[in-house]
Amino acid sequence: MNRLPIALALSIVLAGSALGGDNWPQWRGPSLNGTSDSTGLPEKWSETENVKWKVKLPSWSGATPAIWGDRIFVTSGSELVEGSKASTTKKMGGDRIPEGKDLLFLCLSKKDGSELWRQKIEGANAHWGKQNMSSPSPITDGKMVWWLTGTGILSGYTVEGKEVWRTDLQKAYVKFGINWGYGASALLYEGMLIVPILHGWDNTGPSYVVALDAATGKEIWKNERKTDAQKEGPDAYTTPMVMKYADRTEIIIVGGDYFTGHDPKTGQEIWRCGGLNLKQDKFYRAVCSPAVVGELVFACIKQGPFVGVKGGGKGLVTESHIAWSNKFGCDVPTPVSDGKHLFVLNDGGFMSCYDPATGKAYYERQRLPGGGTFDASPLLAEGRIYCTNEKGNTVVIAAGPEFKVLSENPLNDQWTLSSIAVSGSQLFIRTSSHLYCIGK
Amino acid sequence: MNRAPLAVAGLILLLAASPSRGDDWPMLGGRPDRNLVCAEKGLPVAFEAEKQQKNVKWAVNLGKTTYGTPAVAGGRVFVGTNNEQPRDPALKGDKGVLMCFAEADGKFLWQAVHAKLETGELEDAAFIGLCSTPCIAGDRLYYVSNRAELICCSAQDGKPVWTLDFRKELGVSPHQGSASSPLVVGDLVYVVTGHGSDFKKHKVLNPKAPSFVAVNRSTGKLVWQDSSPGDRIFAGQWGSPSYGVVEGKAQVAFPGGDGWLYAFEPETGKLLWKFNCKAHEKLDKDGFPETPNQLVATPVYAGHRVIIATGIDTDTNGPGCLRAIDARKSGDVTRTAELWKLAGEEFACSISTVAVHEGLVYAVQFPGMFDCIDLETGKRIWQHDMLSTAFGSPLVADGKAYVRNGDGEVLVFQTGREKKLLAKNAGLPGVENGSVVAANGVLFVAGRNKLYALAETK
Repeated sequence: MNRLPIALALSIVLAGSALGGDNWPQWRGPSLNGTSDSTGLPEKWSETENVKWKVKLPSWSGATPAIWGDRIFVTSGSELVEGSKASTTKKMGGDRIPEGKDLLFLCLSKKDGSELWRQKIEGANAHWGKQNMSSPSPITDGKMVWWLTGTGILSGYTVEGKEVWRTDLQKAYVKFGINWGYGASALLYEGMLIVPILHGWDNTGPSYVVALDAATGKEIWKNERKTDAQKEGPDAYTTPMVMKYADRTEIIIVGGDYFTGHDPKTGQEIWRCGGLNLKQDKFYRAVCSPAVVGELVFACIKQGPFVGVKGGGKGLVTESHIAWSNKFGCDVPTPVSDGKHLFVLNDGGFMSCYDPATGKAYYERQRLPGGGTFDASPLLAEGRIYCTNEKGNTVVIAAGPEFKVLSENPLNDQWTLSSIAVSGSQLFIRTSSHLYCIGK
Repeated sequence: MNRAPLAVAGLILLLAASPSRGDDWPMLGGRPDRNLVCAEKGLPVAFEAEKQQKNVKWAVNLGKTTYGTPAVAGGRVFVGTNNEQPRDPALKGDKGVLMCFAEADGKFLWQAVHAKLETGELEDAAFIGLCSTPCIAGDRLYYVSNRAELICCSAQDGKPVWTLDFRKELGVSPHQGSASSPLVVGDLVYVVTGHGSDFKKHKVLNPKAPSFVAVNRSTGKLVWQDSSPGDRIFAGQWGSPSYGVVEGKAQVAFPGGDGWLYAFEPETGKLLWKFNCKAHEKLDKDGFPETPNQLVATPVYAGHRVIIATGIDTDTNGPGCLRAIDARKSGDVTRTAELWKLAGEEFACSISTVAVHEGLVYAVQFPGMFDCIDLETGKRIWQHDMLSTAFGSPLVADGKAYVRNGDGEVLVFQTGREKKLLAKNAGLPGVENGSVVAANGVLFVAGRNKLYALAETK
């Protein structure tokens, strides 16, 4: 109960920062929806144009950097040391870029990318298919910074790099049993770290959603999240999001074939909605996170359907609360919206734009130029959508009801998975080898 | 020995007796050259099964995952699927299933049901079903089970005649799945064993086990075997062989899981030529190739050329390569036999087989492009963006090219150097990616949980 004042203070800090546009505290940014109110952002860049600086990173990662003030936080595998490789647990689509066997947590200077401090967990890295054990994105509130690994080590540091607490989620809750390795990011909300453990592939135990006190690492609540999904269906790589009503908020989680809405104070499930897996496919692992637009939330598992759900329900609301759905799935990238238009990027590089309220398609399945596979979630800022593919090419389109390509911005890369972070009027793009600061 | 002439004679008689009936589609690709072209006429251009029924002759339920394409012969339609909508309620749980239906009305006739491998996911992934497309020769049916067995059974009732267990008898270890579609020519059955690298250890544990075999079709006895891909298999080997006659000499081409295409003398297994289809890929400093692509598509013989694309099973929109190889040379012909290629930015990865018709190659790229390419020069004549990823293969018949995308839409083009889209059919319910085949005036479309027979209704 004495947590509340701290939480309030924190939310004020967050609100303040969101207006400034300087900080990118967690994966989907200050507004938790992949949008930024920054201005003066570059619309065009390349290796030789509008690159303020770039620094080599120890290894590739699916994580998005977190930024506060002058500090940038980056999770990573370690550098490949001659003769030692990360143990490859599972692979998909051939060999990835070789990397080291340790996990790193880096703090870099926003001015020039120089390293301010680093933490290391030895021998914890492995790559599983498209990801290694550094996929969860770091989170910061400007005072502390939190590092979650794919092996379930969650620790809190001061932004100066001093460890405050550390916990092992696999020991505290359940052994991870997820087909491609744990990759969800936690959500920082009102002084709590909300961590989803949604899995089932290896039958190691139930799925949970837990909330820890961000300051101390102590458990605030823990809720089993039930699912009747089978086989790979309970596995989720999704991050919780927040839905705000006039009088309350809910934490929204997607995975195990359902959307669920939870009371942030207790974690208790208020509603759940199916409709995500009409085929009853046993391999419907969830990758894209819920996209909240007002009191609507959108998500999709694998090839679809793409589903929009009205919040505010109680109990099982599959019959009553699906606002609309269509058959074109997006699988990996999380959709983004300015409130009037919902942009759904499919991992194959097709963009669709809908009216979020009605599902009316302004346009559907427009192919982004340059092709490639899209894992990063799009960024919406200054009336533009930034879409980065695995090769590090960012296509910028107009955030309007007509499909209009504004620019194509290549960087030399093969394996970009991270979403773009924004600070001030600069974009921070993490490719497999480098972190770029892009600015005019 | 005397069965082959009999079968041929039978086929000729049948064709002669009923010229309007058209041809069967008795194997993957329809014929041994695997060229996806057939002589059917009067096939439907437009059809629908969702809001109304249009040109749907019949439709039946399959399991819930169907990777194989239908084979049609002797009045029966065969297709591999899984057991998620069991035909026999007594047989519960995950299985590999080969179903047989009456060609005329879709009546279920029989099924062959195979238990999953005890080694589980590593060798026989959950719910993938039976992926092999059967080959029918006379009254016999040949297919590869999900247990990596080459099975010969009666086409009439599925009664087994002989079984060759690649794992037990040849030391083969499939990587997640066995998917090769056998090819019967003369007395021999040719098939890729599906030998692969260990799913956990990422290396080929038994590099001497054969990747390619020729088996006597009457006895099931091994005639020759080849383990050329050896320890260089990247993951699995899910391709299928094809057969061509080049300058009067027969050859059989096997796609390898090492990215090489191997051609052998059919009777003896003597290597005629081999081509590294990843030769254009740069190696990184650790010696890893640029892409995980290998040969999943089936090679197609067109005159003295063999055409094949590189790709991989998983969702990847990366670069691939479509090549025409001169099949008249011998030895390692990687440097000498390339007639043309489309690679890198020009052609994305693909696991689709091509159709070659009147000097044009029709090819599908995984990200969803459908290409028409000049067979002589390799120059792209036209392209259509299907706006959905695709791994099915096209079909050319009756002056039209049929192609299916990941939303199950079937696009129909007029063949020729000018692009003309005749129809874009909405996805048939229950099917997404896959191919379209034709037999006896009817189109067959099998997908995730349905098989459709589509014909012009008068």
